[in-house]
Formats: sequence, C-alpha cells, structure tokens
Amino acid sequence: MSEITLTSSDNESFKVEKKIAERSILIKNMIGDLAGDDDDGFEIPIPNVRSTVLKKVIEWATHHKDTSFPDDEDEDSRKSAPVDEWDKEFLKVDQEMLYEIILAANYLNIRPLLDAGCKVVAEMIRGKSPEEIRRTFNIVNDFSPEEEEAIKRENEWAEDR
Amino acid sequence: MDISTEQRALEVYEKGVAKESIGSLAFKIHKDVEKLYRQKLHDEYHQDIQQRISTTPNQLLDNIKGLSINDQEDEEQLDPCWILNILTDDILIEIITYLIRKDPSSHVKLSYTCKRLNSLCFSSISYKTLSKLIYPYQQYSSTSQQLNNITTDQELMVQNWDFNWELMLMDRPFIKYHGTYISKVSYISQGAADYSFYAPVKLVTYFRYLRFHPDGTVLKMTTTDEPTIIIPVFNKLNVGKWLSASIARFSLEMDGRVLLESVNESYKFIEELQISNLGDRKFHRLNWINSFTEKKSDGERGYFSLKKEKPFNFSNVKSYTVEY
Repeated sequence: MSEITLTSSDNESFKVEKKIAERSILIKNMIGDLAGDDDDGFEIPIPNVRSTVLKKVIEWATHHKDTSFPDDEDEDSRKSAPVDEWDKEFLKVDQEMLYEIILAANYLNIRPLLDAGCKVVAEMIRGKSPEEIRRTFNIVNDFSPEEEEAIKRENEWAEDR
Repeated sequence: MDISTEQRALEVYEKGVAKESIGSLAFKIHKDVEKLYRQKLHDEYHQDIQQRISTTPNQLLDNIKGLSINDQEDEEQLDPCWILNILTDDILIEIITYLIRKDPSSHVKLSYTCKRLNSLCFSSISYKTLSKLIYPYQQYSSTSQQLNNITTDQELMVQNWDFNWELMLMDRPFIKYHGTYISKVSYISQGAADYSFYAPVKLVTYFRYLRFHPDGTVLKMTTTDEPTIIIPVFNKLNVGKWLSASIARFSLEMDGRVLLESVNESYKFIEELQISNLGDRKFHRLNWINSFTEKKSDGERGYFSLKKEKPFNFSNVKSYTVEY
C-alpha cells in the first residue's frame, strides 16, 4: 500500500502518500489496525475537518514528511523549542483558519503541528495589555469593573517567581 | 474660585438665559460662567440618558443595539471571537502553558481579559506548570531535604498536599529569582554633639538589596543609593564595583526560613530571614529573624541589633535573566 484517501467533512477526497498521512498518529494507528498489506486505496473519513483545512494540514505533512521531531514524551524540549521558520510562514493565515488547523492537528494527533500552532497563538498574546489582547481576539470583557479589580489583586502574584 | 461663587454665578446665569439682559451681570461675577453653564447642561443630559437606560427593559435595549449597525463600535463587536469559539479548553490551556513558561506577565494579563480565560489561566494544570518551574530550583538545606524527603520530582512532592497543586503553591514558601528583594531603612539620627544649643537631627536612609540565584548564591549589598540606580546593574558580575557588595550562600527550610551565610578568616556571618506574604502577593516579603557573627575558633556569637531593620519586599525585574 502506498497511497490512501482522506475524505473531509464536506466530502472532498484527497489521495495522499501513506508516509505523509502517517504524520497523523490517529491515521497511522487506523492504518495499522484496519488496513491489510495490499489494501491499496484505503479510505479514511475525517468527519471533523473541512476540505480547506484538510488541504492545509496535508500541505504541512508533505513538507515535513522527512522531518524528525523531538520525542513526544520529552515535554521540556518540545515546549522550549522555537517555532520552525517554515511553520511560522505556513501559519500566517487568518485567525479562523489558524484555530481550525490547530483543532485539526489536535484531533488527528499531529503533535508538532499542534505545538507550532499553540506557540504562534501564544506569541500573538505576548507583550500586550489586557485591552490589546481583547482587541486582537475580539474577546468581550464580561467582568464588572469591581470584578476586574478583584481579579487583578488575586492573580498578580503569579507574575513573580 | 470657590464653589459658592460658582453656584451663585450659575444661578444668576440661568436667570440670564431667560432674561438675556441680565446675562452680562453674570459674567461680572464669574467670567467663566458660560462654561459652567454648559457643563451643567451636559451633566444633566448624561444623567438623564443613564436614567433612561437603566429603566429601559433589557430586551428593548438589545433591539436598539441590533439596529444601530452603522456604529463603529458595534461593528467591532459583530466580529466573532474565533479563538474562544473554535478552540477547546484543552488547547487553550496548552497555549496558556507556553505563556507561563515564556512570559509570566502575559499569562497574568491574559487572565484579566474575560471570565473563561481567567479560569483557564488558573486551572490545576497552570498550578502544576508553575510548581514545576519553581520548586526544583529552590535551594533547600541538606537537613531540611532529609527531614522532609524533598525531591525535585514535584509529582512526588505534591502528594504531601493531597495532590492539590494549587494548595502546594499557596502553602509552600519559595525564593523568587526574577528580581531583587529590597529593604528600605530610615531612621532619625542626632546630628550634632550634646553640648550644642540646637539639637539638629538628620534622616538617615539606606537600602539593603538581595538577589538570589538558583545555584545557591545570593548577591548582597547595603547602600544609600536608590533602587533606580542599583536594580539595573545589580548583577553578580558587578560585585567588585561596590565596596559594600558581597556574595553569600543561602539555603531554604521547608517552613520558609532562609539562612544567608558568608565567611572570612575568623568569622562566619549569618543572617536568618523568614519568607512571608505581603497582602495578596504570595511569599513576597522577607522578615528578619536574626543577624549574628560566629567566631570560627570558639563558636562565640555576637548578635546585631535588628531594631532599625525593615523587612525586604520583592521587586520583579523583567530585564534579569535567570540561569537555572
């Protein structure tokens, strides 16, 4: 078996090299469990991911098909590694798309893509005032002024260590 | 201009509006009466609007909001909040974990933005992340380590707090490395000899600075120089620049006692401090317990008076890099 077919939530099918599809641990396990050796054209439905997002995820997996990523268990080096330059460019998309890619990476169990996405979002938050953060993400402030004051007093300590 | 004059001018001016001819008189009493009058109208207008809003049924108010789509502000509100609409709590917590590691102040600022993010910013995973970034780098004394079975594995340590990471973090004192502890001491000193006819006094102010490092060393200094001068350059590498600066060793007890120790040829210098809270700021303060010298030859102790001493308060310094 060299190629499999992935079908998005809106019924678009993508023929993908097995090695690329196996960047997703979810798909890798499915192939391992379900497909026979000569089961060419094995088809996997991806019901949670729409076609435009699936296309992006496949683009990422294609670029990284030979990349070796740090071990899943090695949380420290995974979390402290900076975002790969190519990934940074790849993730320069509108916010809706960015979060859908992250969500898809989470569902498909593609750890390095999920990490890169989360880091990019964290960078969007960094160095901003609460008001700037709200504006960047269209977050509605649902605190009363009194609550906001109380929260500030309560949380302040976490800055210092 | 006192209020009664303003009030009087206003009254006269109001009459003047009805009777234009009296208007000129008002100006003689208070030359800015026109401004006062406009302010009054403005305030009343706003009061009126506020009152109307508070008495309008909510539903009606919502309808009105829905209608005024040309308003710039409302247009902004129509944009969906994709991040909170799309991402699950698990993923948001993952993002928050990066912030906690990289930029503690951004983590706290994010928590101020809305209720959902506030509760996610301080979920048990956040407390766990913080614990793992803090406790393994504390310098416990060897006796404290043995007595309390202290290990750097926080998954084991948290068992002592019923596996509650928040409880451990609130309860277990720690030394902060990203800043300087400052104690400001002020007292009045007799400025001249007793026989002087005058008794001039002078206010003496000096500062004690402590900067702790995860390697068990602490940079100490006592000086009259203000924090704005000292803090930016208060670095171990600069210790030779100041006569009063020195490097001591420190160790921590489980209960938050801190021991600072330095030696010369014949004496040991020992300072004992206690970590405590400063209001809502956890473990933000160091109180004095003891300060003494110990002769190396016979162990004789000489205690320093702590009467004038003040506690140290922690000051976060963003520019400091901490080597773990």
